[in-house]
Amino acid sequence: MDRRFLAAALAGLSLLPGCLAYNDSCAPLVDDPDAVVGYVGEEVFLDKTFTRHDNNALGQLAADAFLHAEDGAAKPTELGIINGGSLRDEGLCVTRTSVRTGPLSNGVLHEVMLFENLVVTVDLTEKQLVALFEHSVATLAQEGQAIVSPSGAFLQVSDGTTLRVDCARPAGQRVKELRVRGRTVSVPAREDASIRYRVAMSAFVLEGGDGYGSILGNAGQDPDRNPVQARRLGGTDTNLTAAYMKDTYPSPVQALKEAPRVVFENCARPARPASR
Amino acid sequence: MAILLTALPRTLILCAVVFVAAPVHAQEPALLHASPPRAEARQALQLDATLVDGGKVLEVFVRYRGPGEPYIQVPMERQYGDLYRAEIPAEHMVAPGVEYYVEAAMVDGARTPLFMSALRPARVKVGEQPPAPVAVAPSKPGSRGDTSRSAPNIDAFTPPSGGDDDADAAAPADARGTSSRTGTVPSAPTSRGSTAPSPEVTRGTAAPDARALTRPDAADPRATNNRTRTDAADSRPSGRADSSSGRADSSDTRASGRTDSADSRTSPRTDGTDSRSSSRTSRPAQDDEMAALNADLPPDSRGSISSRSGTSAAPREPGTSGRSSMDDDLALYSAEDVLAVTTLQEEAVRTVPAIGASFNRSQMIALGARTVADVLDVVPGVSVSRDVQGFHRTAVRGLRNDAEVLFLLDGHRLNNFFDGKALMNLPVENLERIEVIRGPGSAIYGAGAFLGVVNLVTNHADGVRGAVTTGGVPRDDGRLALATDGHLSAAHTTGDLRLFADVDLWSQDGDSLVIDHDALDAESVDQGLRNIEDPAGRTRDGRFFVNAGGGISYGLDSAGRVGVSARYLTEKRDALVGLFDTVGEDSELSWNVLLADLTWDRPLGDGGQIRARLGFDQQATDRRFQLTPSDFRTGDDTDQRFPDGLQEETRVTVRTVTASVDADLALAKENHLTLGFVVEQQSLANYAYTTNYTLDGRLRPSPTAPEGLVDLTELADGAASRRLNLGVSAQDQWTVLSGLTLTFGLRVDATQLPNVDAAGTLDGRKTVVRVNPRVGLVIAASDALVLKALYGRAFRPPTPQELVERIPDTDYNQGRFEGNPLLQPATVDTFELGADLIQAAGDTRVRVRGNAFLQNFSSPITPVDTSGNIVPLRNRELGVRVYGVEAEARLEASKRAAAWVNASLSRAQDLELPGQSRLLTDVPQARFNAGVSMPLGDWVNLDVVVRSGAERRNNSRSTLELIRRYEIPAYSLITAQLRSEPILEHFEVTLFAQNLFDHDLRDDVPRPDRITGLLPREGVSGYLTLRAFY
Repeated sequence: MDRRFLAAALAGLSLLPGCLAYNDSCAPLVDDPDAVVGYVGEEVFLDKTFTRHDNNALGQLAADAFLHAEDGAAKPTELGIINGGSLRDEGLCVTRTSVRTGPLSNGVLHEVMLFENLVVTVDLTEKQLVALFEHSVATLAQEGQAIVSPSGAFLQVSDGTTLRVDCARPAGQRVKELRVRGRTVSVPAREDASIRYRVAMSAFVLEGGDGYGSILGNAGQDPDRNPVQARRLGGTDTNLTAAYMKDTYPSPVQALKEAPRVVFENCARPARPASR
Repeated sequence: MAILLTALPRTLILCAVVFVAAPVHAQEPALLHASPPRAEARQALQLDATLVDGGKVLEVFVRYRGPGEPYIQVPMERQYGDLYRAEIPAEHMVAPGVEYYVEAAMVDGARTPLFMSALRPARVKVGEQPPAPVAVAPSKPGSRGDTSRSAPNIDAFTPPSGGDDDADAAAPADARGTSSRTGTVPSAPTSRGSTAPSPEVTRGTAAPDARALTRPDAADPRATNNRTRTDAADSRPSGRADSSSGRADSSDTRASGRTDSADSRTSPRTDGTDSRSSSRTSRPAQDDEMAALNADLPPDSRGSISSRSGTSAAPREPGTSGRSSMDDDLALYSAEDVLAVTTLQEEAVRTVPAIGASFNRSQMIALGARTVADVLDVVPGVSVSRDVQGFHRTAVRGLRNDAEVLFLLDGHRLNNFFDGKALMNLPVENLERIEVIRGPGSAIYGAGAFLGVVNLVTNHADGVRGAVTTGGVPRDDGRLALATDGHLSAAHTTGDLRLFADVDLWSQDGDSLVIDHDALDAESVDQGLRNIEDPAGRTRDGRFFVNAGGGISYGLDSAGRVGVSARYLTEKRDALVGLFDTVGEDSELSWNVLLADLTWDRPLGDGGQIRARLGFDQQATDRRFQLTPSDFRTGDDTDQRFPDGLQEETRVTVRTVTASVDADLALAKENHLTLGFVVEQQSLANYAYTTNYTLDGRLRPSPTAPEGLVDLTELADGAASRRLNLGVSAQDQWTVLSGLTLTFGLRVDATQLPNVDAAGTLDGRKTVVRVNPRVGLVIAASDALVLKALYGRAFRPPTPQELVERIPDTDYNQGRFEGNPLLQPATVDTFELGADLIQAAGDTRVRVRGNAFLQNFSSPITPVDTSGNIVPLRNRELGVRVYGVEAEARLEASKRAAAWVNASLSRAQDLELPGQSRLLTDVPQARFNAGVSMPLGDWVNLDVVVRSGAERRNNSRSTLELIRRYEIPAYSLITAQLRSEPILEHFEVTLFAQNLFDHDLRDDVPRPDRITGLLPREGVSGYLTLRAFY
């Protein structure tokens, strides 16, 4: 009698390992991971030094997508920004150090931009705009220094925007020149709160992520700033980016390439692999 | 009479009550029966009895059990007239003995105990009479110093003193047996001998029947009966005289009475063959009184009740609760563990309306456990891991949250009001028992008894116990990191006064293991603080710990018992790694806890009890974390260099004042009601957060609170820092039929929480009311099988830390969770089905226990990092669901040979997430533990314990968790020890090794992407323990 129960108990125990289950971390984040969303014209490095301390083609792509998120609105968007911390190299299953030249799949794009933040377009004052970029470049390493733990707050900017940064200057005075869609932004900023720039960014930044809280305040809730959340494609940064890429870089001929939108002076630059 | 009563000691009052009560109960059925003290092994034991006033009795049953067996029922057959006879079959007559009691089935369907009871059965020792110990015979009456006192709860089996032919020698032997358990001064044999013809007691008798009874060996039982009654009547005054005279000249008045009752349970003597054989038929009435008093109380209930209500100060009632060696034998054989934490009444684990486990002293020793964490880690369904700060974290059924496992030390809550953590990792040497309930306990304990309840019971049995352990961890540099701990505890009872004191001292250097990478790897190398090939640092695990407690209690005659106890715990230790994601080797954490209790308890006439408790505690924590390496720079300026690294320090002091009253009422024989009321004021007395750096990373001349820090004690006029809880509870245990017990409990708690306006700002307090029901159905389907069906609900309010603590965000203190005043209390509904089966064959017993559970957590408070920045905590709206099974089996071949296994499997799911990332797997989903104890010759035992856990992986509740991957492989840790049998009755030596094969165990870290090697745990360590007990 005893032995029977004991045997049953032991048999039950031996089955236990087979009952374990784990989340499938390799499960794609999208239904159509293999669908090609566009073409990349040069290898895009995803290490932090490239996404947070230099211009980055995928960052610029996303910023452009944000810029066009509210196309057709009464007041056009002038600037799209995305924080470098939104571009990740960890991946779901394997770390991706770079995105290769050639077709970019929806699955990979969603792994690189995997936070799925909502995109909001909002009016900022000139003061806010300049402070935004000062914060973005405040921790960039000077020339000759090693780039150590670059901050995810570094902003990639959209087409039509040029930012000239001098890393030799102290933090808070590093922005030398800023042009947004042809408008030259006064640096230092004017106090006039009626000077507005319509900027598209992720809800993460707008809500104060990466240290932007003190600069942006409650702009996301202020009706005076006319915050508009993107509606198309669920309004998430990745979906908007994928759609924009499909439209803009549909072939190897019209492929995505990095543009020198942020101009670095006296700043340390990440060392690109020799093959480039 | 009443005036006289108040003037008399309690013992005498009890005598009087029983004597007066006896004739009143004359119409009640009674059984005239004397149990034999000893019987032959493997021979059926015949029990004869005479039924008196049995008009309403339908049937008479003997219910008996061998060691480790459940009760088995046999009817008593009527032989002729009113003589009844039953037989305990030969196969159950095995050493060390059997227990039995006699019950009557009445015409109205009720069951009445006739002779002893289930909770206080008569005992018959089985087996050969051991020789009289040499040490005992020469000892003189009253010479306490050299009477041998075995430690009550250690598995030192003191051989019973045997058949001394000399009556004088036998009496001290008796006294010795008593003092060994109760610590009372042995009564002078002369006084008793002179007044009572038969000073030595045999067995206790049925509770309601206070008359002295005899075994009807004459042909006419009635005649015998009458004669015996007369004898008994004669002996009454003598008993009183005995007591009063004892009172007059020494403090042992009660010793005589209690001695008897204690003897009746243990009977280390063998009086069957000695000169007292004729006296076997007589028993003093005191025994009956004690029996009457305790008829419906489990043997240990007083000790445990008091332990729960904080009167742990009060040692147990001598004679009712001192555990004898036979108790231990039975407990060991059967692991018939008891716990009081479920119902406030001490009950066998197998029948409590909860899924529980209890580890007594000998089991803890057999596990090779040094600390509470070592013991908890072998409980099925429980896993203990450590975090980077070095705290031990107890996971119950796959979920892990410090504020959700209620830790009690002798019934006094250990969890800190501010953050819910408990200083629980005490050494086990001074503990008598560890009780664990998996599942909700809010129906009794209110807030916080959420995932489980762990009650640590300190040893208050009379005697002196000491232990010293020394050993350590061989570090990888070849040095031995020393660890030494010493323990001393003593308790003593003198008359109405009981005292206890204990102290634990613990000092360890701790293991030092390599942490290869941390968050500041690149910076440290860049700043030249270390070479690129060097590791980021090492773990530090030094600890100094003191736990000292003491108490005194006094029996106030009829007014109950008053006790005062106090305990102080202090711990200073290193952080294992650091605050979060960086090695901070110079971190220091200290924790001081003061617990004090004033208790009063008083038995009620019907077997119930009323208890009151006033408790106070204060906890002061001071945690200083080094956030970066020494000489770290945040910039090039002179004030951006930090010689001691960036540091932050949090000092928190919390206080709690609790007043509670609860009462156990026996509404009817089979209906037991527990009512409770508790008021508790918790407060955050002091909160200070300071840093040695400014928000922009510059050195401060002295540590200061950063700009923008809110003083939590002042917030909204103290709304967040003070909390008043009111709780009313009722729990009814109703044995509807024999074998079917229904428990219904309900506790209503009103808890103050801070209130927030629409904008999310604190603006005062609100009262949240939570109702926590508990329903349990326990069916003893047969004597071997117990089935349980349970439902319970528990809740826990957010801690002040979860509600309001906000630390200004800097580059070096990220990854925190920030308080959210909008948090709601979390609740859990738990459904459990359990079964418990005991089977015996010959000397071997097998116990199999299993249960399945389903737990639904609504609005759980779970920290999920979604952005990598400071993230506010929130309730998971869709909740968490956990289900699983737990099973354990124990096989016992003899007192020294046993094997056990347990296993648990659980699956926890966060329902807020998509299907492919729901599972919570940072705690092993499957655990398997096993152990074997076996004798190696006469003097040495070998214990081997294996603890295994399945692979662990990160949770995937957010994108960040999804990409911060880790996998901790399955592990098996082996503890092995050689343990001596008691040497010279007073000493025990143990040589043991934990993690014998130096398995590389790791625990999870919050940032596996930064601390890539995860958290290394202790490697192999070896210790030598010497225990002594008197």
